[in-house]
Amino acid sequence: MFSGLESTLRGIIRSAAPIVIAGQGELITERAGVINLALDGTIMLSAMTAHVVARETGSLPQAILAAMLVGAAVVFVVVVSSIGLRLNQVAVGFVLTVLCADLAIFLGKPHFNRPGTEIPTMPIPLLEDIPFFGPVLFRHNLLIYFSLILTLLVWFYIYRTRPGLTLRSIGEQPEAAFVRGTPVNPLRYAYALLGGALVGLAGATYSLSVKLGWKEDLSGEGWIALAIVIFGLWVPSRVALGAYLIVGLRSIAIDLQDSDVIDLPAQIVNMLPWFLMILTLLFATSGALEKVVRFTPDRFKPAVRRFLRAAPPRALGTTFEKH
Amino acid sequence: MQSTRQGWLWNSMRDMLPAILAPFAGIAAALAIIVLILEWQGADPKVAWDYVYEGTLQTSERRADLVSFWMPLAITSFGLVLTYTAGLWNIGVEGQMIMGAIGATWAVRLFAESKNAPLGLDLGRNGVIIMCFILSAITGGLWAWVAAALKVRGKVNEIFGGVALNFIAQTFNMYLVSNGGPWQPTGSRATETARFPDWVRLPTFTDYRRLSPTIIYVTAAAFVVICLIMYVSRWGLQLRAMGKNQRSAFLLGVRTERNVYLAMAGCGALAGLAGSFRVLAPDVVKLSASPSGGVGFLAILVVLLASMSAVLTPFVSFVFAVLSKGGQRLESGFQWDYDLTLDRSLVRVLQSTVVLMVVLAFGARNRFFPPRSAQPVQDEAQIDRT
Repeated sequence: MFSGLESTLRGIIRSAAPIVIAGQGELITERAGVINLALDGTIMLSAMTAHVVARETGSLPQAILAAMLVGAAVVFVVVVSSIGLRLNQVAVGFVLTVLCADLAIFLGKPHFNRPGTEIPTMPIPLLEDIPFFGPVLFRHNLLIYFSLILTLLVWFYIYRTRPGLTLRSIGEQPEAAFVRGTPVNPLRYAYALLGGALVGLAGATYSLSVKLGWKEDLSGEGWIALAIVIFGLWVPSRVALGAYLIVGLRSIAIDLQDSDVIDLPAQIVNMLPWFLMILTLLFATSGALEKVVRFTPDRFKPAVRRFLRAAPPRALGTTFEKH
Repeated sequence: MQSTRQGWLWNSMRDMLPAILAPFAGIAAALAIIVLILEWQGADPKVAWDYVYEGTLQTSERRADLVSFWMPLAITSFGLVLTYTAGLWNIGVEGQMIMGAIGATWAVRLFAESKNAPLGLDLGRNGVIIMCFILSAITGGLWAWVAAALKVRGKVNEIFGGVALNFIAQTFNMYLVSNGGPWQPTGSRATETARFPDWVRLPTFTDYRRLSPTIIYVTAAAFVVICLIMYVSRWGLQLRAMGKNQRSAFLLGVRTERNVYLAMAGCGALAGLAGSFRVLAPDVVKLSASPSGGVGFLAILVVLLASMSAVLTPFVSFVFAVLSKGGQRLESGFQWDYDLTLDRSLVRVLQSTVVLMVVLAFGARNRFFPPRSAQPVQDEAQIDRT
């Protein structure tokens, strides 16, 4: 039983890694005011790229780098067309997600279902011997470790550093930031590219570690990551929480189905992330939050308010022009 | 007098030329990309086009199959013209189509397959088919209504709501037809319902057994209605105003919230009808695991490429239908004749590349050759300064 729980948790941390990485990448992009709707296709294209590069060159660093470049390139098109050409980000993002998914299927055909290269597991000495936590947290590969610390890094950067404050300001009040001398559009380029590179890394995490090799069933994972950013209401910790929650529910559902304990259709669980996302959005926008705050004891009010506070970046999806 | 006339000509040419050239430049760029991909894969672009032509337009049977693919795509695009004109990003169209397919199947189960139909109605063939259309329009419309309600009441952006509702519709459909779901025939392992009874099938042409005239009539009627709405009615004008600036439209007395509901539900109803075309098609007649087959997303590309113009959508959707259907022949042709693996997803790459390039070309045109009317008037600027 104990080892069963261990392996389940270990599996959840492994399979949630790409969603966490992509979610944090998209969070950075959206916090800077840019919507990258091309997430789903980008993950497919970069996963395929990483797989092919790893097979052809045998070099994992090159494969990861190539995937990140693909992710950044896709988001670059989104930003150029929105900031440079004043086009609708959503339109361009949507077309790109369709384009990238089909391009991945077309270019990846010769490499479909071929054995993939896996990133070697690197247990951390000493820490891996801690009972329970060792196997769950410290016997993974580098990309999974990265997903574990990424949330902390993003949180620290956004909320505890000065550039992080600037990042938030260009997504909330670009005019005010510009008046204070912040180069709004160059920074938006930079953060969007960073976020896109992280999405590419998420794709590499799929094909080099989580779902070894290139298969076409990756479609849908990017939409889930996008949903989790919204479900997490643009806060790094809640995005990570959402990713682990949804992957956890998914793996529990698969276990239950195998064990025949309850006859629960897997589809119900597959619908869950989407119901959760809609409910969270409704909850966040309907003013129910204020009621929750009103009924909490005074002592906890600030903490509860801080935890529940939620609003999309105010300038999300808009373009900024200096006058 | 002469000089002002010449000036007028020059100005309008200066506005018109980039506007006319932009789409051609975009299409040319996309074609160039695809030709490069084909050459790189070692395939002759001319041969590729021959296969596409052979697979869709050469024989009358192929043309009939093409039309039967084109109609659902076209009617979905008509619906999307409503929402996109009003500035609503109805990404949920795919789910609305699936719900329509489910609605049509439900009608067949209720009125044709069950021993005791509701109210003891015995509708006969035409009655059942009409019920299929009505129920599919209602289920598709309701699914869109949910997205509209989430947007108006809950302020949930229609894109995020739509994506979520797509996945919910898709999983609900899977639940119905897979792993002993309620609509899977007992003992069957295939993820689909049983074929519908013979006597409820759509009428077909005598020469073309896979094409039904009914869906052509319904689509043509939808086209007329959409054109009337967009070019004649006041409501079309209101939708256009909302698309330009929802807040201004509201301040000028347009009932924007009601229009969001109506436009979404109208689009959902048409998408639902498209879903019923897909399940009732004479060579399908069952609900499968993926009844929409990506046609909803394809219709979004069609509407983006047609720049939301109602009269252009039939043509654009026809071209996209040719490409989609031609992909199969393209793949098998190169496989058999040249022993070359060329996946049919190439045609979908072409479709989205064309849309991307045309959208980018229009962006470039607006950025670098803005129409005169959109530029600040020189004189007024001078007056302001003095």
